[in-house]
Amino acid sequence: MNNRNTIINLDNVSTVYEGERRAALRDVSLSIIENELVYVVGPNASGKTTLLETINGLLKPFMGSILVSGLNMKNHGRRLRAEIGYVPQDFMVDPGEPYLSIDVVMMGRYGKIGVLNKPDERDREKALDSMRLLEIDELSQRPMGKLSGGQQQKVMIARALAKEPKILLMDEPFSNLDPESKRRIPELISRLHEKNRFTTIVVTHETNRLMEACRRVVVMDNGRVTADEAPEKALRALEAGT
Amino acid sequence: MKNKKYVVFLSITILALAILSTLSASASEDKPIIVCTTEAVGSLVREYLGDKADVVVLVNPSICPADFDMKPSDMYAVSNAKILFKQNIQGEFWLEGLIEASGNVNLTQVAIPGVYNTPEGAKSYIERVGGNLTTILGIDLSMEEMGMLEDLDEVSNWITGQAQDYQVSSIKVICMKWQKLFVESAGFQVVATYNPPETLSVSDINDLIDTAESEGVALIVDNFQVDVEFGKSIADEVGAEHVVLTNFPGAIPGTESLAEMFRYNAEQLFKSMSAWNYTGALREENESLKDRVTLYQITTALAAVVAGVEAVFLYTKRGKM
Amino acid sequence: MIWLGFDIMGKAFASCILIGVLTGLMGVFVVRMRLSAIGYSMSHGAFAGAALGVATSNNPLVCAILFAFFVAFLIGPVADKARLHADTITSIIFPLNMALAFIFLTLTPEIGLTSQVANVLWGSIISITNSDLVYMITLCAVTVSIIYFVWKELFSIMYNRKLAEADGINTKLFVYLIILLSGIVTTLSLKLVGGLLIYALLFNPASTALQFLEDMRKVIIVSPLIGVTTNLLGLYASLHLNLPVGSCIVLVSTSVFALSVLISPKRKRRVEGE
Repeated sequence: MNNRNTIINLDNVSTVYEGERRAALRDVSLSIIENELVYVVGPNASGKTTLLETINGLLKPFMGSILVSGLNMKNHGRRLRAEIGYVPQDFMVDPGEPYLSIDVVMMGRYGKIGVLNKPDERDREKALDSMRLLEIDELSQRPMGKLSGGQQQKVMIARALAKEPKILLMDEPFSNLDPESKRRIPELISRLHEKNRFTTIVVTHETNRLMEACRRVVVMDNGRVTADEAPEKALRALEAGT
Repeated sequence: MKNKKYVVFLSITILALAILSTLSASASEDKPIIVCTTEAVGSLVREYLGDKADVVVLVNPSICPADFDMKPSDMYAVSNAKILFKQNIQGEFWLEGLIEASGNVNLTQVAIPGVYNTPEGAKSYIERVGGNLTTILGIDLSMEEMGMLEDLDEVSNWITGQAQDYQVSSIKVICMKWQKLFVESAGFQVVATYNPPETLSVSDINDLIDTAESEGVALIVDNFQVDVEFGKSIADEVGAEHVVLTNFPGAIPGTESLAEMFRYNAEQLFKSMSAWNYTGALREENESLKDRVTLYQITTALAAVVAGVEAVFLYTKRGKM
Repeated sequence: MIWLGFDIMGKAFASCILIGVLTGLMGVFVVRMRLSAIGYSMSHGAFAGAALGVATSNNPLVCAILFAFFVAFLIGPVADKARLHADTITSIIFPLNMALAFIFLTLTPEIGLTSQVANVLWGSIISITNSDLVYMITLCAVTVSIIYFVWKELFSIMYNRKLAEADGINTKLFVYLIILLSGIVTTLSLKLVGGLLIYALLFNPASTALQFLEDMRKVIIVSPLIGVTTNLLGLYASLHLNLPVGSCIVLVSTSVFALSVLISPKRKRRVEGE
């Protein structure tokens, strides 16, 4: 690995959720190269979501350090998060929630726009472009609560893409999609990843075309990284339970 | 070792309490304790007996009797009192329960009902309180009574003289209902009264304002023990003078006796009436100026906010210009 | 030149409008950011502060604001540092505020439960001064300006605080800002409805608007309109029914909310969905 291109570096990171005694991440050391596409797999409660949230600075580790683009996440979290697109695992909203989907997508750009500044036409266009890519632009004026689970998930992906991120973190981004979308959207992400050269980390249970494009799979179990290698070997390790 | 320390501490505490209770018991044996519900009677008992008795007044003179909140010392006083003077007013609704709880079977209760906050009414109070004290304690208080009645006569004559000099009979007043009798005894014309302000509705307040305006009211009189600000709003609205009178001796410095209280109250009324006469011509202009000041303050505040908003706009657009 | 009438009813009318706008605006954030318990605790903090002001013969309004700030400081930043849930802190603060209020009132024997205190508890429309109007107008202008400039951050936080944080927004700063603004608004509203009822003014208009609207931009416009309308209707009702102003306003506000729940198209859709 060329350390000069390392964009994310976790060094002996351990994270514990508030009120919990057991660490959700334990001594995780991981380096991710710029423009790399990495899959993170593992059984339930293995720490995959915790890993993404720790990288993103939403969870603060009690041990270890996280560097993103050479900056310590602890001191520069907000600035760094403006460049990180995050697709959460939990995204469903109540049916009556008063937010239009275009507004939710635009929210992805707010951190970049900055306090006191107003979003302009360019921001709106970027948001609509993201929605067009995911073929949900006709839903832009619909309230989020009236969208199906799959549609809401696409809105979340569009939100992350609208940010024009340098790093894209996706947590189970395809779980609610219909079969056709499950085929097309990973392809789309793969194309975007190639075109825009953003670093992508995807947490998923599903194998798909996006996985075919990735050269690295990180396997997690019980809060630790148990394997970090090429997809075939890593998936074999996962199946073997090692 | 720990248990021993605990026993020693407990023993010392019990011993100290026993000594204290003996001391207080012996204190009460020296002078009789006389409890009065309010200073209306308490001030008289104090003037009669001086340091011959421990006079305890339950209700602080600055508050309304209905707002009385019992303290342990009040219970102690009632439990050990020889005499309890009450006025049988609505605000003493808590008294019966207090006496019953005290368990004092030797307590002599004396009711002194009726008006006390006019010179005539106060005279009756003086005579009845003195008479009861003489009967119960068996001491001659005629000298003290004469002195108190003379003080009252002096104040009463002074008030009457001032009322004539100021020609107050044509002066119209709106007052809190518990001050009505005194204000009328001072020669003023009471055209309306009001209950405690927290019980008034907006409609009541409107009616008061309408009455004040239609009658050309000069003074709005509040009762110190109830509210000292309510009348000011109405006074400002109608161009009257706001006055606050006290209903119990001792609430305001220099009003320790009923006579002093009457003099103070009357002075407030006459002074405010003079102010009303004097400022009459300027009143309207004064109100207009106050409103103008408010308008200027509002426009200044809004201008400051607009300036702030413009500053933020300029700051956010700075790179783009 | 037209002069405004600064008479008692004029001030009552103006304060109904201004308080309606302020509480209608802030209520949207209090409800959507799940700060309801905080709003509730702050209103009682303002009451305790006003009681302290009465007891110490200081300006009750100033003391109320300071106490509301103190409560906001306890609930917001300190709760975060101590890693205590806001519910825990508010469960402690609410009875503490009430206890302190009554202790302050009885501490100085000269001040009992007089009209001054009753005014703080239940409001006193007659005691609204010209200065109060100036404060309300200024606060209105400042609040609207702040909301205008940081609307997108607040909007994002109301949707999902975690996602807003993930997008690079300093959510803590804006939540504390809302708590502090709510504290000031609560305090200024004391004279209209009093400390015991003020919370209804924060909660009801926003909740009513949310029963019908599906765009938060419309909610932030409609909620203050509902606040103003219910305040004025309540004032009108109190005039004609001869009832206390604060209680009438809250009754009207609550009735409007109850009616909105009954006829809410959102509720009907949910029921049909079941």
